[in-house]
This record gives sequence, C-alpha cells and structure tokens, in this order.
Amino acid sequence: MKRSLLSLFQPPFFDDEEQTRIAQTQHLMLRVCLAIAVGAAAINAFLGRSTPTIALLASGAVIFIALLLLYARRLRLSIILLLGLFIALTASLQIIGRGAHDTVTSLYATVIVIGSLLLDRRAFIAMVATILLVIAGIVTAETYGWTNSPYDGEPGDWFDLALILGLTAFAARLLSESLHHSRALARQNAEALKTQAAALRISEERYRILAANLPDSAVLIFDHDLRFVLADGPELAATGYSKEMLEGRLLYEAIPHSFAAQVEGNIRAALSGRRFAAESPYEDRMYQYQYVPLIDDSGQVKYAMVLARNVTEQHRMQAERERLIAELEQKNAELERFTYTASHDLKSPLITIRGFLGYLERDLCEGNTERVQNDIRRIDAAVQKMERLLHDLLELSRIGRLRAAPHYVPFNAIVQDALELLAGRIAERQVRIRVAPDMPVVYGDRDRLVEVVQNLVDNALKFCDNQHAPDVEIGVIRESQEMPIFFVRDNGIGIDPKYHEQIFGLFNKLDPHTEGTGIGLTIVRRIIDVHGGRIWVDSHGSGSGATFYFSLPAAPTPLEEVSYDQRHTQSAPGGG
Amino acid sequence: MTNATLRVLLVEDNDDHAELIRRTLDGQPWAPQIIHISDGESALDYLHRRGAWADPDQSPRPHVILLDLRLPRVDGLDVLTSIKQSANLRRIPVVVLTTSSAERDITRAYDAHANSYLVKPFGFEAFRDLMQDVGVYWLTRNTVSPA
Repeated sequence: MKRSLLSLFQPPFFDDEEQTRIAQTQHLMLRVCLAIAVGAAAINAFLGRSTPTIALLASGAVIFIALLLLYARRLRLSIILLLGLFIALTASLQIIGRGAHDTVTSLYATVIVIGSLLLDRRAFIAMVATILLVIAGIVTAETYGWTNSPYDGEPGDWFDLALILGLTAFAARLLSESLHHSRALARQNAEALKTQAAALRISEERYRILAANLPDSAVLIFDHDLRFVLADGPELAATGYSKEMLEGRLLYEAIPHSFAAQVEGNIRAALSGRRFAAESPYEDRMYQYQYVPLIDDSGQVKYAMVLARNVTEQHRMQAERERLIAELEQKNAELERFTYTASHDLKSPLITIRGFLGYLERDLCEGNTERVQNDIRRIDAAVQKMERLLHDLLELSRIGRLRAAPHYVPFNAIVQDALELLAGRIAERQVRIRVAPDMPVVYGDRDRLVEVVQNLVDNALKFCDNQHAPDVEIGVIRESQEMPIFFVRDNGIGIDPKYHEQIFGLFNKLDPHTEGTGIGLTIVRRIIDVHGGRIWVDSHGSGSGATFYFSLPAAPTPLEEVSYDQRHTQSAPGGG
Repeated sequence: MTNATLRVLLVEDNDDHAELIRRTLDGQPWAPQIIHISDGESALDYLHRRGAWADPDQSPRPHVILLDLRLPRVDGLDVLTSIKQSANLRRIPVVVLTTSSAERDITRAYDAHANSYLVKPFGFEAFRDLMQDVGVYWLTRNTVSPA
C-alpha cells in the first residue's frame, strides 16, 4: 500500500528510454525548484517581505502544477511550464531591476541550456524565440521608461543580447544533439554487443553440448603451448580425468609425464597441420585417436583437436568375428578332408568285394577249392572292414553333440572305467599300468572322456608289444588351475616326430597291418576339441616310447565343496 | 611264368587290391615280376636304395611304378614328388592308381609330373581290363628310357 502510494510520486516511465531519462531529469529539477521556491518564500515571509513571498509562493504553485503534469505523463507540457516560469520570473526581475542590463539577464542562458537538454528541436526554437521577444519587450519598455531601469533602451542592446543568447542556444543545442547522438550510438553498440555475446554463448554452448555428447568419445583441444583449451566427452570420465582437471592446464601439468611424452609428438604434428589417426590401448581399453588440426579463417592452425573414441567393443567383435571365421574355415577344411577320406576308404572294400567276386566265379568254375576259400575269406574281411568303417564314421559324426549334459567327474574315476573296459587285454599282454592318485576333477561328458582314455591306453598297449616289460603311466601336470594337462605315457615303439600330426588324421595308420581302421586318435582329438581342450603327442621316435598330452577344463568349484562320493554320484549319466 | 626282364613296382597299402592286381597281371604272356611295397616310406627306401634295399641287386629299377595315393607314413603324392625330383628316378613312368577321383588329387598328381592317372574301377571285368591295358601299354608298347 505504502509502496503503491509512493509509486504515485515516481517519475513516469516511457517506452522510449530517452524520454524516460528526460522525465527523470525534469522530476529532479522540479523537486529542487519546488524546495528552493518554498524555502525562499519562508525566508522572505520571516523577513516580512510580502511581495517576494507571494511571488515565490506563486512560482511554487506553478512548479507544483508542472510536477502534477509530469505525473500525468504530460512531460512536454510540464517542461514548457517550468521553462515558461523561469522566463517569466527572469523578465519580472528585469522589470523590477535594471532592465536588459540587469545581471539576471544571464538566467536566460541557463534556461536555454536546460531547454536544449529537455526540449525537442521545435519547442526549443520556439522557446529561444520567446526569450528574444521578451528581451525585445524589455528593451522597448526601457526605451519608453516603463521600468525602474536607469538605462535608456537601445535597439543595439537587444541586438547584442540576441546575438549572445542566439549563439549560446546554438552551441547548447549542438552540444545537446551531439550528446544525444553519441548516446544513441553507444546504446546501439551496447545492443549489438549484447546480441553478439548472446550468439557467442549459444555457439559455445552448442559445441560444448556436441563435445559432451559424442558417443564413446572424448574431445581434447590444445593450443600451441600444449594447453588444454577444451576437454570433454562421455569417455573422459572413464579415463579418470575431468574437464576441470584438464582445461586451462598444460599437457605436462595435467597428466603424468610418461603419458604426456607419448602423445606430445602427435599433438605437435597436428599443430603443424598434419591430420591422421592412430590406435593404441589405454588401460584395458582400445582407443582410436583422430588428430585434427583446427584451422581458422586465415588458414593458420589455431588448435589441435584429439578425438579419442573407445573402440574396445568393435575390437572385441572384430576379433570374435575373425575367430569365428577361422573356426568355420577349419571346420570346412575338416569336413572336406572327412568326405574325401571317407569316400576313398569306403570305396576300397567295394573294389575288393567286386574284384574277388569275379575271381570267385572263375575259381568255382575251375573247381579250385583253395582259391575259392581264399576269395570268400577276402570278401568276408572286406565286408567286415566296411562295417567297421561305417560304424566308426557314425561314431565320429556323433561326437559333435555331447551324449549327456556335462558333469563334474574325478579324472581317476574316468581312468578306472577305461581300465575296466580294457582289463582283458591288459592281463593278456601283462602290461604294468600306473595311475597317479588324486587327479583333478574335470568338467565334461563322462562316457566320452572314458572313450578318450580307453583309446589312448589301447593304442599304448598295441605299440608296447615289442617290450619285455610293457609299462603305461597315466598322470597329470597341473600347470594351470583351469586346464590341467593329463598324459598317457608308454614305453613302446614311439612315433617319429614327422608323423606327430598325421596320426590324428581320419583313417590314417602308420602301419597298415595293425588292427583297427585308424579312427581312434581322430575320435580322441574330436572329443578333446568338443571339451575345449587340446591334444598332442611327444615322442622322439623309434623305441623311445610316446606320451600323449591332453588338456581338459577342470571343475570351476573348489574341491572342498563337494566330497569325492558326492561328486561320484553327481557324475552319473543324466545327473541322477 | 613271370617274365624276369619286366618289373612292376606296386606301391599299395591295401593287400586285397594288391592281390587283385597281381592276379590280373599273372597269366599274361608278358606277366611281369611284381615288387609289392605297402607304404610310402618303404617305397622311397627301395627306389633310393636305402636301408634294407641298399644293395642295387636287391632293388632293381622297375619298368613302371603303380602308385596308390593314400598311403601310410609318406603319402603317395610325396612319393611321386620325390621320384620326379630325383635325377636317377624321374624317367621311370609313374602310373597313379587310386580310388580317388577327386579333382584336387588329379591336378596335384599331374602337377607332380605323374605319367598317367587311373581310377580303380568297381566292377571285376572293368578292373581286370584296366590292369591288362596298363600292363600291355606300359610293359610291351612303351619304350623305357635307356638310363
């Protein structure tokens, strides 16, 4: 309430800033004048001078009216009233005093200066003209002796005064207008600067947002002193740095010396105008760095930008893709070898059968019983061979799918099963078998793994025939917790190193007269492959025995968690 | 019955096939002496006169080599390559005799300078006819290199 009442006595605001400013000046002037008028009237009343008191009170009334006009937003009228009052007062004082020669005449100059500041051009000219007319009137009054002036008015006096006041008016107006002009100019400039600053702020904000949101990236900008001008981007935090830690600081201040030394050369190269990309790891991630010289309008390199993008995921995917392609290629080659070998080896018995059937017919006609028997024996053997081959091929093709879900099986249990299956042959050949105790628990298909050990031990038995004291040893090398390496070692004939790879090939036999189709080691390798392990052989060849090594995934759980018996039951096919 | 002056080196790991070949070649007027070796390594030992065959009297040069491709230890193609790279052996005709009709095997055999490539046929008659043709051509028609 109080505030709104007070606001009644505030100078009015106009849309035009200039007018508002004038209104404020007028307001101040009116209040000062009102105070002076009232004060001077009080002093004169105190001194008992009635005429000046009345004149001053009348002036105060006029000033008050001007003030009210101002509050009513009649600015121009208010100014004219005030200036008119001044002119009237000055004229009155001249008439009372010494006419045109009175010193109060100089008050006109003050009025002109005030008018030049507050009035528009037309009103100002009108005011100056009024003043000159008033002075002319005063001079005329002097001439006719209507005043108390001791001087006789002369046209020359008017002319002098008109010249002085005219010049004053001209100078004041010139000053006022130039002041006005410069103020307008300044205001314009300020306006333009403000717009520019706003535009700059928006533009800066835009590139900030851009830098801060570049996916998987960090943006670093360096000046020629190697100072971070900008450091931002979602990936920056991942490196353990922040915008605040880098921006405004020198490269060697902000990051460890060794890292700074690594990148300094590249940043300098970009600052010299070279644009290039590089890839290097940082901690456990892979980054692609784009070094870009930032060139200004004059063609000079102003900054170097480093755009670091986290390409770990792409790298991982690329590696994964390459691995899959390699795996696929390997599988393809394997399949090709398989079909080739299979077709070749299946054809052979057919040729034998057809061939000896032909001779059988002839031998029967000739009545050669010995040959007939031989023909039949060969045909029978070929049919059996064919059966074995087909059986083995079917076996091999099934390994790709594990028979049962994988289980934790103590390797000793697997060996035990395998040895039981071979018990007859072991006894027959009087082979000493040594098995290491407490071998690790492995994770896999129990039946398949039994097959692996059975095949390897069976092989060992076959090639120990030459020995007086055949000896087979089964053990483990615990080089890695995850993939222990097991071995089956014999003291048999050994394998020449040049055949170490060949022996794993389908139907490959080093000695065509040994039993079996030559698929055993192929099956073993396939089973180990399917379990994610690896198999290889170590032997110096003739007479030195052979050791087959193979790795298998160990149980991922600590051994203490499950007792031996529990593991044993758990490993039963089907899981119980 | 065999003609002592005509010799065939038969490199064949399948005993039945070797017997079939022997029986088709026997009984011919030009029936050759057949030296049967069942793996690639021994074949090379024979030809290069190493080990058991170090004595040249025990390892006379054959007039033709019948070579299976799929052999234990040293593959037939490796045997072929070794023969054709040897100055002493390269003039001996090598006839590849195999069950494989795979394009890869055929081209590789000729690339290794095989003199002929024959696929073992299934039927008895076809097999017998082929072996007789081979015998007639390579043992009676073909002129061997004098040295």
